[in-house]
Amino acid sequence: MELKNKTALEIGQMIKNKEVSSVEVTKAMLENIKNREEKVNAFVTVFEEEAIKQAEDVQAKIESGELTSPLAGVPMGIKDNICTKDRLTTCGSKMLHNFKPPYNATVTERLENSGAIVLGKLNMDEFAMGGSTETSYFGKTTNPWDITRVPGGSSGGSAASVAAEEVLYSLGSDTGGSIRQPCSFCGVSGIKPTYGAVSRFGLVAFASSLDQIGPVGRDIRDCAEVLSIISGHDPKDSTSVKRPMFDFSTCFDGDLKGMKIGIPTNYFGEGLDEDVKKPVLEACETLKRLGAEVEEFEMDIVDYAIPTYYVLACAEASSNLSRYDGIKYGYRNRDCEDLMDVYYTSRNEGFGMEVKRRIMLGSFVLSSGYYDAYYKKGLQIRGLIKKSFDEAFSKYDMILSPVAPTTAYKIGENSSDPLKMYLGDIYTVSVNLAGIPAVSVPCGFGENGMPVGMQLIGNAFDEPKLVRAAYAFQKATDFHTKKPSMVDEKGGNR
Amino acid sequence: MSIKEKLIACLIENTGISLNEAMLENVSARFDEILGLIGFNDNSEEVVEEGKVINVAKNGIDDNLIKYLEELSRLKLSEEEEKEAKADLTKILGYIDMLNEIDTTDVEPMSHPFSYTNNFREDVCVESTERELILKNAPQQKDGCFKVPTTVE
Amino acid sequence: MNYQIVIGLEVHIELSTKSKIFCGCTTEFGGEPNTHVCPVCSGMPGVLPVLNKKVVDFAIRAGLATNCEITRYNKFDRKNYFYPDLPKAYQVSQLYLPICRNGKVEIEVNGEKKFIGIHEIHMEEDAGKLVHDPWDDCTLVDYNRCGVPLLEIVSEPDFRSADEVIAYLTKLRETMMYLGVSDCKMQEGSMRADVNISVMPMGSTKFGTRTEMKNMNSFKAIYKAINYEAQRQIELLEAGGSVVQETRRWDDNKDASFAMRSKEDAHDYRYFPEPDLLPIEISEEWINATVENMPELPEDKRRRYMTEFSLSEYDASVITSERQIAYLFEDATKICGKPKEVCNYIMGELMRLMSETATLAEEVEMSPQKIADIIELVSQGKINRSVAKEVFEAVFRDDVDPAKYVEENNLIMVDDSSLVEEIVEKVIAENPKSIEDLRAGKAKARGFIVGQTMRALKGKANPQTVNEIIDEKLSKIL
Repeated sequence: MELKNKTALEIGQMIKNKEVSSVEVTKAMLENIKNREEKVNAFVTVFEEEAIKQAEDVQAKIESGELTSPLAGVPMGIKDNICTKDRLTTCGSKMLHNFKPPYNATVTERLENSGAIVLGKLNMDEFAMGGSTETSYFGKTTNPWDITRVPGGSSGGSAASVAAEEVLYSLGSDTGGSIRQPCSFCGVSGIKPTYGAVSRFGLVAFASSLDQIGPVGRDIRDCAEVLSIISGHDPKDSTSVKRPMFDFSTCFDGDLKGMKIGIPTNYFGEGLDEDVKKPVLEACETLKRLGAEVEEFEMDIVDYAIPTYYVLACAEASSNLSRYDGIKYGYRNRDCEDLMDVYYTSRNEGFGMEVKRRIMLGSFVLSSGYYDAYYKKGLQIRGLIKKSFDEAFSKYDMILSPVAPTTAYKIGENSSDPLKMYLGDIYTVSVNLAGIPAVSVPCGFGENGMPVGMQLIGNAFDEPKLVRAAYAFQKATDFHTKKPSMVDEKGGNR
Repeated sequence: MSIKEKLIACLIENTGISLNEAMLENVSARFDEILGLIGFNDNSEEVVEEGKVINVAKNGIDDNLIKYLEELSRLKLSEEEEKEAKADLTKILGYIDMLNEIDTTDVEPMSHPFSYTNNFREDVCVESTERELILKNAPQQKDGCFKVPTTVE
Repeated sequence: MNYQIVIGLEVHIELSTKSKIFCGCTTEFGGEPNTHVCPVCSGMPGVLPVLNKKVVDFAIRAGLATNCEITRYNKFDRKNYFYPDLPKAYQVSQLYLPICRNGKVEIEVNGEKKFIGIHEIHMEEDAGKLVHDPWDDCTLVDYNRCGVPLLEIVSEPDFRSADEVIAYLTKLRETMMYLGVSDCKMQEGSMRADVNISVMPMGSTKFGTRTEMKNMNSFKAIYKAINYEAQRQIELLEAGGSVVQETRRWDDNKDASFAMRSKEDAHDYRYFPEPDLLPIEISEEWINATVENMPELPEDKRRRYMTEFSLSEYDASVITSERQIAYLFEDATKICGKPKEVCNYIMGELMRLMSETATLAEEVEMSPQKIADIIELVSQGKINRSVAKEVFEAVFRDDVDPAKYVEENNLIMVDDSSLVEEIVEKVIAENPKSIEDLRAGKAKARGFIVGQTMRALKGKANPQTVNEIIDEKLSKIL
């Protein structure tokens, strides 16, 4: 049975047609994991036995007609900051190296209820803070296209595992670009949903007003299917919005007639690699051919998105990460004399440097005397950024931009300069600040052979529009079907 | 800086007159009088902050501030890390200072990315979690409680 | 020099909702450690709060009862600090936009009325409990109280004496209990106060440096602590020293306050808007509905009892001092239609029994129906008043049925004049000394005859019948 190069939906259909069983697919994927993990290290934890057991149960339920989801029986992976009941959830940190939550995240619950097979937990930058998956306590993840390069981050494991065909799809989380940028670096598709579309219950918080969980997949159709399973109001999350479910059923006709796409000129200026610029502009031509109207416009305020983002995200993070104190769960230094010792040594030894840096930055912008100058100012500029997106969407259905200024860089290249690393989020963070959705889909390759993604940004809850455009693009192109040579010896992009 | 010192600095800045020692003493005494008259009490919150608040944009993050941030964050960096953190944070904050280019007078701070309000639950009890599960991940426990080194004053 | 004491209060009351503020765990007091706990209130990674609507309802009620403005658009903020009783290392509270602001409460001390300003009322969550384990020299952490909803009622520094503070606390407690928002049990910590005290020279308008005593939970201790602390500050100033702004701990056993070791990072709480909770928008309709459902407050009740039931001001204020007692009075009155009678039994018998048995108002289990039944038995002439007292006590102690109790213990009033006549004659015959006394003009002796007759009839006789017959018999022989 040939499982290579299939999408999650195709595998789901094959299981339904009894061409293959969920157990067989699961075992095949576990085999891939065994063969490729040494190079990729996309997983923190693999649930080998549990996954096979789960596949047997799900297979029986598919046969009895109890499970009917198009993705029932399909193996997948979950980013390690999303809680899995009684199974390790580490956030890529020493602080939570042994933490097994007694509850599931709502998304985990929803996926497992629809028959997902969870193969394991995917590697990430520690507490989702980073853009390269280099800061994980459990080692770096590499890019399956070139294992000397980073897979992007923070959802590096989520993107790399899909690109390496270790899973058929995965869940990531996106606070400032953490789904979209690794998708771009690894040549896979992903969606950062509208804030409030997907429950955050069970997502270990980094920055609560920016975090969203989203899917990573081979193509946008898989992603849309996953999103329709995980989205919808959750009474356990006050910020999840009560509204009708997404309807993607009419999104797959490949037609873009009448679609108006805006291109912010300042997204294509200084700092953007030619390697990225060229494929994105070519993609723009493709979209035009498909019937879209494309127009350039100015959106200067987003130049301030990075400083705004780092003020707000770090402030929230400094508070969210205060609960890791060595008392209730996670790492504690054993030789503590007094309470202060428990706090200081556990936190100091449990967190990595990037996390500590952001906690201190966050404490600073909230501290007495600086709140107005930094935090409040950040909230005000956030309002201005949202306003300028509102204005843009009064003219355009969506915005096209690069995902990241570069293709995947070499491991270690940026890790010594945090500011340089932060600037890599330049095209993605404003989306989180405005709480709006965006997709990242492959649109070509750089001179260095590394994949390049483009970003389509939509208005709040306009995911169907984005899926429609991304699908039309993928129907007309084959970038998303290219495989790294690790997966397909004949593969590669040339 | 006490309020009085701030007032004096403001006075010098705005008038451009440099004060000799006698003048300074005189002005200082008058400010004391005025502050007394309006019932201003200068010994409250300010004192707590002494030595911690500095002008970051001008001086970068100094030793006092980095120590203060470590304290607030319950972190204890090594000397090496501290040096690194000071340099990094100074650089990052310098970059963040570009926010001051934007005039935000009368702009409403946006703490949530949308305008929804009022998401409540009804006052209904549900079963609590088994204690064993609550304590399962605790580094130390005793008698059904989380255990920590003694906290008494 | 004479000094003026200036006091401000921050009063915390635990709300009597069934479930906690952000999760479904019970708010019930006590329980084995960490058994009223879930991932949300124990601050596990990834969990989220969902606000209990009742908490907002109660806060609006409390705000309206203290003449506050209700903040139509209010929000929660996080107050960040590390302590083992605070599992998230931040307390969800309200700093920037508290739900109620600018209220006032009228108090009366020695006949003088005065308003105490309410700066604000905000909603927040309670913290857990730390218990020192002397065997192991460690501290044990119990999160059962974590997430119990609190209102913090912050007064202006308007108090000038400990008496004013007690009058205010009494009024506040009474009001909150009437509103049904809290049981205000001081001993269980469901009402407690942080007391800020400073002194200044009489006539000055510049407040002195204040000290704070936190978590005081008895009126007596608060009273003593205020006077002690004011005296300490005055002595300090008189001796040429100055007051240090600090938190002090009141030791009720030593009757003195002590400086607490100051917290390491002094009060930089880094408040910011809580991103996990949506802002609260309170509509006109919501407020109107709350006003409509507001229970009658003690002051209004007092006034009504005086006009509607003609109770004296004293009686009305005693009966309304506790919500349960007032409702007992009203319900019993509704059934029997005799407010004066009900009032007398409550003021006399009930209050006496409560103090004898150290029973709190909320522990009284008497049904208004049974009180009405007793009054009915008296007015129908089935029992006399002294028997009624006995029945009342039996109902209070053992919750007996009044009619059945009277029957089973054979307490029906004896109104049979021939029987009474027989007994009176016997008593007169047996007590010639009393008759002689009466002849000698000692009127007191008559009481003795009455007493003996009642005793022989086991207290069940109709006192009117007894009196009439005695008068008749005596008139014949005297």
